Amino acid sequence: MRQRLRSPVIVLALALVLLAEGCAPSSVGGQKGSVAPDFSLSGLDGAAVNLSDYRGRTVVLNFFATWCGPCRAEMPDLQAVYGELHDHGMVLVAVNQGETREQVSSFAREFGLTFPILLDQDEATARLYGVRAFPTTVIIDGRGVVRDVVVGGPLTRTALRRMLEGMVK
Amino acid sequence: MAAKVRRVIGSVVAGLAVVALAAGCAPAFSAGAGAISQVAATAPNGTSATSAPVSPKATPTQPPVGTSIGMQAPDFTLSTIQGQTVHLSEYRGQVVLLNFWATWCPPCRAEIPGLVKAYQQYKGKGFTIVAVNLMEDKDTVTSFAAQQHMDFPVLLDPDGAAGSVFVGRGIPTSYLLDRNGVVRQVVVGSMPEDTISQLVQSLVDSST
Repeated sequence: MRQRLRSPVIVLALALVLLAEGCAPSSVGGQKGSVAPDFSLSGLDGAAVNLSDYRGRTVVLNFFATWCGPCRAEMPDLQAVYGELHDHGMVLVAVNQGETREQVSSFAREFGLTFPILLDQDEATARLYGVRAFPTTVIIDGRGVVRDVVVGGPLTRTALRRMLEGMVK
Repeated sequence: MAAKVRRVIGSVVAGLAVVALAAGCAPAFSAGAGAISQVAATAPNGTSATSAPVSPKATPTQPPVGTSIGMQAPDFTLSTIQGQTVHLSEYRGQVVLLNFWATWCPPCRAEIPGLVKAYQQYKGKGFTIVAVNLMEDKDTVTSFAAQQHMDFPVLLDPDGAAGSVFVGRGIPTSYLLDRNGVVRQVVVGSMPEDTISQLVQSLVDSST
């Protein structure tokens, strides 16, 4: 009897653990609904940029590395959406993980990227956002609240445009 | 009795894990799923994109080849860091955690101690880890693997051939394959130690 009672409890507990933890990789990265943590990083030109500089605009924050296949795969679509929407209250900010300015600059040239690219050389910003896979994309509204987190990619132009619906002018 | 209870719980948990991934995690995955279809959350649409024709010799029960849950994992041939050529299919008969990683990927590095621990714990129970390094040079990978005590097979994918098939969405990506080489779980992103252990245990227990 005891055994019978215990099993469902264990199963339920495990189910909760699995739901909470098994799903964690797809839900981390700045909690949806919470204020996006501010950070200060230097851009490819060496100038410091704070996330809060973009308050009032919708920010698409993309954590990437040049060695990451799915990151590379989504770059053309990210650039396309940036091109279409950066005059409409949106900015795309790409945060590179632990690579040199030279590596990242040549990657930006290769893909013709015109959005700001910041260097997270000690990976502190990725940790701040709980990034658990590359790429991870965080959508932040004009008030600085995280509205969406996409773990993995490649994000398509259509999917990103859909996520930004109602958030851009 | 206890063993039976454990087995039953194990299979229920395995089922739940799949449900957790397929249902619970689907909304977060789906936003970016437009271009790729081989991951668990998009399995229903992934079949045609990733399956290869079933060989005429296949038994009627053999699932189609692909990287979605329930499909036969595509075979590949790569070299270990010791220079030995291996095929994924050689590991049939064992539960396999197939991990795609790189030394310069912080979330990948973060989950290695958990992988090492799971390997130590389950290697005697028909379980192995196959860690496929994505496009790095042999020396870098060899010294990293030694430092981290990665005693399981560490394979080199120098031109990303296996990676391009298995890593559609993000790095790291892990697949859990059952003893028949069928995909039972796909996880994109670094896994905490206890998640690894639970996933492995559920499959090791349910398929003995």
